[in-house]
Amino acid sequence: MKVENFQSEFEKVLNKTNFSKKFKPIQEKAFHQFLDTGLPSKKWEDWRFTKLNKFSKTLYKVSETEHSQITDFNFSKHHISDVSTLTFFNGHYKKEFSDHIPEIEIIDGLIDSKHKEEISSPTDSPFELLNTAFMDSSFNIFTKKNQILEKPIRFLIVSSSEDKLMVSPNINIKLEENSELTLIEHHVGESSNFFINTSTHAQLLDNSKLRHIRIQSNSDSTINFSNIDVNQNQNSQYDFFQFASGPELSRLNIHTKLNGQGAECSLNGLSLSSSSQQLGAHIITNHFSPNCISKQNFKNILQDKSSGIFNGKTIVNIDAQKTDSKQSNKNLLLSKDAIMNSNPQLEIYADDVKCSHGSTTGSLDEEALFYLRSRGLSLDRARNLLVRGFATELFDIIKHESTKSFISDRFENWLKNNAS
Amino acid sequence: MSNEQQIIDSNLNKDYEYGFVSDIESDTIPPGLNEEVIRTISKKKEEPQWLLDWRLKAFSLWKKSPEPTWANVKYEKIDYQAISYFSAPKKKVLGSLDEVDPELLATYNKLGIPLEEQKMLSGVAVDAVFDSVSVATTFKEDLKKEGIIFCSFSEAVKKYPDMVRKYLGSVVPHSDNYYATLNSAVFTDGSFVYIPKGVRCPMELSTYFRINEANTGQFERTLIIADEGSHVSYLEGCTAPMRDENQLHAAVVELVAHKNATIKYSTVQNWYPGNPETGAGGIYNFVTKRGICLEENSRISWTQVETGSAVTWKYPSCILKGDNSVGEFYSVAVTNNFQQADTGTKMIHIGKNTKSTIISKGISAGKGQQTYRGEVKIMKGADNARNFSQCDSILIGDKCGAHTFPYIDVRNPSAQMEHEATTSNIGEDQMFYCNQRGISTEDAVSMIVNGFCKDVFKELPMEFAVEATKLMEVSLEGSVG
Repeated sequence: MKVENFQSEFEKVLNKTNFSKKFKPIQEKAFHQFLDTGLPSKKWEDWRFTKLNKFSKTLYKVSETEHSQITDFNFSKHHISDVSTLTFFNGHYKKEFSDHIPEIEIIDGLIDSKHKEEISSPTDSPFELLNTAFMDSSFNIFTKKNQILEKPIRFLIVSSSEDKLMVSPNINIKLEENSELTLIEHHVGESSNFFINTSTHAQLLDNSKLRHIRIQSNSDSTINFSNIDVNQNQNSQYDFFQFASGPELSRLNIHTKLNGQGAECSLNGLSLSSSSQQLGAHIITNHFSPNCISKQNFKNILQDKSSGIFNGKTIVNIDAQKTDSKQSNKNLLLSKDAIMNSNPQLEIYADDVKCSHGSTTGSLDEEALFYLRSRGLSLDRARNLLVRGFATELFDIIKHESTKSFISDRFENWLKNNAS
Repeated sequence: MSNEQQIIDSNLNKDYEYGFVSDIESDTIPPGLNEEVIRTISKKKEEPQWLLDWRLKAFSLWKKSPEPTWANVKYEKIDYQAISYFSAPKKKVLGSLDEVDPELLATYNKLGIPLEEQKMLSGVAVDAVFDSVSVATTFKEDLKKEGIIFCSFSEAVKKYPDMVRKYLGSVVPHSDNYYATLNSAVFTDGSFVYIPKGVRCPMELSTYFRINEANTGQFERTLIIADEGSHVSYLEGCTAPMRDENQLHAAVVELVAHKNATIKYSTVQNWYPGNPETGAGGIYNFVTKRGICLEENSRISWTQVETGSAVTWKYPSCILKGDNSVGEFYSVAVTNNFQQADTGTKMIHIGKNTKSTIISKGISAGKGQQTYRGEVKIMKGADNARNFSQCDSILIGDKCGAHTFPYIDVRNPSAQMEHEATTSNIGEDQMFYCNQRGISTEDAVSMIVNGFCKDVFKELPMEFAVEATKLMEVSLEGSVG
C-alpha cells in the first residue's frame, strides 16, 4: 500500500454513519499528518530491518459492515477459560460473542463519545497516525479506585475474511489509584491477508498495576503492527508479556514512560518464527523519575528463513537517579538461513544508576546435545528439551493459570511442528 | 561526597597542559575547497595522474553526498570552505636531524619526544608528521636492513607507486563515507608501512601527529601492509595546541594483513578538547579506520586510548575475511567537560572460525557525553564465528551521559555471539572501603578507574602504556583519579 492508496479508503471512513461524528476532526487531522510524514523506508534508522515490501505491494481495504458477519469461525479453538472476553471480528465489536463485565466501565468509544478526550493524541509515528485516522473500534476501560479485578479481560481480535482488510483497533486504559487489571490481547485469524494496526494507550495512576498479555497467532499472510504507549505514575507497575508465533510480519512498538517515583515495568516477549516470518520488537523504556525499576527480557527462536529484530532502548533521563534497569535479549538460531538483528541500547544521562544489558545469539550447544544423547535421548527429544529450557522460563511471568497453560500448549505445538 | 565534588570541580577548571603554538613559517594555500585546490595539492606533491584522478573522483562524489547526522553528537556545522587544505612547513628539511628547524625540535621536546634521543632511549622509530608534510624520519637505515618500508605517504607514492595504487582505497574505498570521501579528495600526507614476508618488525613504529597551523584541517592517510607471516606494531599519538576555532581532523587508516600476518595498531589521542568552560575550540576527530584480515590466520588488533578532542567520531573496524582470522578492539575513552565521543567498532565476520573480541571502557565526567556504537556482523559463510563484546561505562558527576548502541546481526547459527554492557557510577561502598583503609578519595577514585581500564591498558605496548597513564592523569585527575 502506497501513501496515495489510502486516500480513497479514508473517504470510506469519513462516510461511515454508525460512528460518532465527534471523532471526524481528530481522524482528519491524523490522516493529514500521516500524508505529510509518509510511510517509513529502510533509511529510517528505526525501520532499517523491517521488511515492508509486502505491505507496500498489497492494497488493503477498510472493513465494512458486510465483513462483520460471522459465518463459520471456530471460536472454541481459541478458548481460554476463566477470562471475560470481548470479541472483535474483522474490526467490528460483536456484542453477542462477548461477555458482559458489570464490574468495570467499558465504553465503545466510537458510538458513545463520552470519553472523547481520553483518546491520546498520537505521536508522529506513521502507523499510530494511521490507527487514529482509520480506527474502527475504540475501547475505553476505566477501573475505579482500589478496584482489583481478579478475572482477566480478553480482547479477542479475529481476522477472517477472503478480502484484504485493514483493521485498526484503538484501546485506551486508565487505572485509578490502587487498582489492578489483567488484560489479554489475543490475535487470531485464519487464511486471510490482513493488516492489523493496533494502538494501546495506558495510563497507570499511583499504586495501580496492569498485567498485559499479548498472544499473537495470526495466519501466515497477516501483518500485525502494535503500538503500545504506557504512562506510569508513582509506584505503579506494568507487566507485559508477548507470545508470538504468527504472523508473517509483526512489529511490536512499546514505549513506557516511568513518570512517577518507584514505578516498575517489566517487558517480556517470546517470538517463535519459521518459514519467512519476521517478528520484531522495538522497545523504549523511558525513565523520568528516581527509584524506578525496569526490565526488558526478549527471546527469539528462529527456524527456516525467518528473521527477528530486537531493538530495545532504555533511556535514563537526568533526574532519574537510583534507576535499576536490566535489558536482555537472547536468541536461538535453529537454521542456517535464519537472521537475527539485535540492538540492545542504553542512553544514560544520570550518574547514580545501575544499568546493564546483554545479548546473545547462537545455536544449540553441541556439548549439551551430546550429554543428553549419551543418556539415551533421541536427537529430537534432546533438541526439544534444550529449546524448551531456553523458552519456558518466560512463562513464569504469567500469573493467570489457564492463560499460562494455554500459552505453553501453543508453545509445545509450535515445537512439535518446527523444532526438528 | 562533597570532597569528590570538589575534585570534580577542580579538574573541570584545569587547563589543557599541552596548549602552545609553535611559530614556524608555513606554506599554506588559501582556505576553500574546489577542483583547483585539489589540483594544486596534487601538483605540490608531484603526484602521478592516476592519483589526481582518484582524488577528483572522490571530490565529485563528496559534493553530492549529504553530511551524516546520525551520530549521537552535537557540534556546530563545519564550513568546509573556511578550511585551508594544504599547509607545509616552509623550510624543507632533508637528511640528518641537525638540519631540522630548531623550533620544530623544541616543539617535539615540549611534547616529550626528543627526536635525537629516541634512537638510544626508546628504540622507537618516529615518522613525525608536522601538519601535513613529513619532516624527519629516523631509524630508516635499521628498518631498511629488514626490507621494511616506513616512509611518508607522498614518498611512497613516488617510490612505490604500484604498491600504493594496489592497496589505496582497497579497505576504505573513496566512496565509503562522507569524511573518508573528503579525505580521499584532499589528503595531504601520512604514513606508509610495508612489512615483507616473514619479517618481524624489530621495533615499534610510531608517528606523532600534531595539528599546528591555525585553520588547517588535517587529512592524513595511513596505509599499512603486512605481508605473509609478518608482524608489526604501530603506534599513533597526538597532542595539539590550544585554538579557538574548531579544527577538523578527518584521517583514514587502512590496514591489510596477509596470511599469518599480525598488525597491532595503538592510538593515544589527546587533542585539544575545547575550552573547559564553554567547550569552544576543540578538535573534531572524524576518523575512518579499518583493517582487513585478507587471508587465513591473520590478526588485526586495535587499541585506543581516547582522552582528547571536542567531538570524536571513529569506529576502528576489522573485516575478517580469511578463515581463522582474529580481530580485536580495546578502547578506553574519556569524555570530560564538554567533550563528546561516539566511538566503537565494527567486526565483520566473513571467513570460517573467525574470532573477535571487543572491550570498550567509557568514562564520562563533567558534561561529557559518550556513546559506544558497534556492529558485529556474522555473515552466512562464517561458520563457528565467535564474538565477545563487553562495553562498560562509568559515570562521574550528574551532568554527563553514557550510551550504548550495539548492532548485532547474525546470519549463521553456528556462530556464538555475546554482548554485555554495564553502566554505573563508582559505588559508595567501594569508596567507603578505600577511605576506611586510609586511602584518600582522590587516590581511591584513581585506583578504581585504573582497575576499570586495566583490561585495555595491558594491551598497549610498553612505550605507550606510560604515556597512556599520563594522559589519563591529565584528563581524569580530579574528576576521576
